[in-house]
Amino acid sequence: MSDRDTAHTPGDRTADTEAIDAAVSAAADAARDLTDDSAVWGVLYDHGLAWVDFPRGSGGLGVSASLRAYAHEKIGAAGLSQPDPRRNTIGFGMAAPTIAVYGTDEQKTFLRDIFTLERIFCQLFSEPGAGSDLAAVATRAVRDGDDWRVTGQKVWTSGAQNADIAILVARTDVDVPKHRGLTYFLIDMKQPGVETRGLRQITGESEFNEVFLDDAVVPDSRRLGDEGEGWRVANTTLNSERVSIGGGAPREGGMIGVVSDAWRRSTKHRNPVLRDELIGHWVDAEVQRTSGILLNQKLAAGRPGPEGSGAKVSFAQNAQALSDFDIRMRGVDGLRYDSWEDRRPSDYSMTGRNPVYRYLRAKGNSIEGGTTEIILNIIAERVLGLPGEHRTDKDVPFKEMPR
Amino acid sequence: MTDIDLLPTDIDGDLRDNVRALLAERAPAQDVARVYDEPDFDAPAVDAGIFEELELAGLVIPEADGGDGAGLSAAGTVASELGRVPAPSQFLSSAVTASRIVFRAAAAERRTGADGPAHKLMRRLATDGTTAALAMDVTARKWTGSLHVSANTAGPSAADDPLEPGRTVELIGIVHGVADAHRADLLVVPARTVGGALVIAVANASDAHIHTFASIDETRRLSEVKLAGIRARVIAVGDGAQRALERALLDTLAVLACEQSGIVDAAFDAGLAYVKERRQFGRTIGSYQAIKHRLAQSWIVANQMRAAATAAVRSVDAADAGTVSRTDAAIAVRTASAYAKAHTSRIVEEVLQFHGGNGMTWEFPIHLLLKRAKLDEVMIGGAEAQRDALGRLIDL
Repeated sequence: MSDRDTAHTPGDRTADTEAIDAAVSAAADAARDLTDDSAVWGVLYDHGLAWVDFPRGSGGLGVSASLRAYAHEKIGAAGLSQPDPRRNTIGFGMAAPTIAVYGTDEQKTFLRDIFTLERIFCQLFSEPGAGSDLAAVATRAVRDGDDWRVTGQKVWTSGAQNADIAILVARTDVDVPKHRGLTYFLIDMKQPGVETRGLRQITGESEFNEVFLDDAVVPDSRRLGDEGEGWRVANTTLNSERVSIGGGAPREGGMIGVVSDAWRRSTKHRNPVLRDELIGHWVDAEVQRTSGILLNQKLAAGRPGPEGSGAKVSFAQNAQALSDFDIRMRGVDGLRYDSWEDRRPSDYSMTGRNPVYRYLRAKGNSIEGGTTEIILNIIAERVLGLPGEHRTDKDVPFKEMPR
Repeated sequence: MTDIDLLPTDIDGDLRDNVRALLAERAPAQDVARVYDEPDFDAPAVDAGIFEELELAGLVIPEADGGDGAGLSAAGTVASELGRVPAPSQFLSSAVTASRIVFRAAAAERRTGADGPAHKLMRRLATDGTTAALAMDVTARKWTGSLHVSANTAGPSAADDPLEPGRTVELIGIVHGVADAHRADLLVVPARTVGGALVIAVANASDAHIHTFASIDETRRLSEVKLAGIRARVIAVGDGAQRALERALLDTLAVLACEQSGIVDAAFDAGLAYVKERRQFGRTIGSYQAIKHRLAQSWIVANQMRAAATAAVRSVDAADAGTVSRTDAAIAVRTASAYAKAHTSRIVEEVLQFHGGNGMTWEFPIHLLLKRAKLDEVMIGGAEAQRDALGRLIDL
């Protein structure tokens, strides 16, 4: 659960939908003579229709997050164009929710640019030595007058080659324990001190990047939250990521629809054992979807539960089991691959391309956005109240930690 | 297709609290375990409370017929609490399965405008403490046909067709594995006529030879039921009988999924409490990641099972109200059932393992949940049977 969800007390649903209806109608009037999509998107933002659960003035109307789908539908029905969030995944899913909570007024102007796709964001969190243990980041930011100078190496950065700005977690104090020496920045990607290299993956393509920072500059005015507060700010971002990854879908939406359709189309490789397995996957997908509906209904009723943290684990397990099945059910066709060429996709689809791609890509589902093991720890410790893991690094200054 | 409302209601909450309070008093684990050692003991105080004091016999029977009209959703709430114990109660066999067959048979009567024998029987089940059991193999996913109509008392020759509801017939045959037959007042008997039509007829259980045999879960005893030409009143025939039986079995699977969800919740709660207490190597065993991760996984499954089971019973109620299609309701039921049948025993087994040697002892009540979980897994067909039925509904 993000801070936003738990802090939000939704009003009467009818009043909320009326507020959305009124905003859509006003936006439709204001956008009547506009032909440029980006200008229309700006109008939507100005009317609180970018992320309706955000506060007024930050692209929202302060209503329940569960009404996003409702707003999306109404805006579409009014004939207004809407930006594709996949063109700014990190901006929409991670940067915007974090800026909405921690941003200064000046930083909040980025929200509009994120929504209108005028500024594309990427994420500089993980490092070769800081994966699940994100608080171990070693990239240093050193104060230089009104600026900070950043040096280090980041990894798993999707879209870095196209990004204008990155959300960055860097170490600003090595004399305190690791969680306390981090600071969160919004850094310009297009500058001499930032070098982006594709990182080739098991699919053959370079969906992600390595980013090398060498004395890169970020003004102090681009610091999000206080110095040393980076861990707390980053957790807002990561919780948003988990919520956005585990979101709902229609029945047979997602991978199960692709595989079920393929099964229905071809009788070539059918047998009763595979059929039983496929329906088992269908059951798992449908049960996961049903839990998502309950979760959304709880959110809408102002009673968020902790169940959301389990959604991403199920999603990854189901996607991996199903993509594995997908290969096995098709005979040779399941083994064909379009191309191993090293490409730089600007976006990707978990359900795209072919079974081999989906099988390989799904391996990342239990890693990206928090490994399954870390999420299980979080559930065990924060939800079930079981003791935390034995830690040797919590009270040791970062510079004295064995690395 | 709009999504079914899955949020708990206040009525569900009250019902849950009342049943839970009653069971805490009437069905402590040591009393439940007694049914294994004393074949004649059925913890009668439990059903006295469920049927007479809380008056839950008519939960799924319409108000016009003397029931509460609360629907399958309320029955699911009760079943879930009974599953947590697990309580030796006839609630599922009588107030759900048998009552739903009679309810479905009455729906066929209503179409012909008659207030026939099914309606009268519904009123009895709802109001006068009469209980009934379905004379069918508890593991059968559909009617398997070992019982027959030997004589149609209204006809000139034995077993002539067609039969009408209200007729008296004679039944012969034997069926193995009938749940709760030994303490039911009535038997609801699906039987085949010589002409091959299905009828559902109701007989007095005291007229049948009922031999209860030791089985995996003595809190839901199984019997062999032998009918040697006993008289029975027909309540449904032909397609109406077939549909009543099929729908009642589907209804039962939905409520059973709620019961299974209750079993999982109880096992999970017991496991979580145990690993927080039990110490080995100087720490609670719940501090080991090998245990933590398995509990977290079980918690995810328990939440999903609860959501799916709720969707199942509420979808059936919505289908009865005409707001959801029969197919969508059946999909919800088969999905929840397939999931519950795939995971319930497994999670109880996990919790048993967390208990170490204690899990193998008679003293710790986990074995009661395990036995019920395994019975529930095979009732009305296993997970594979549910998947097969689901596949037909979703064109796979």
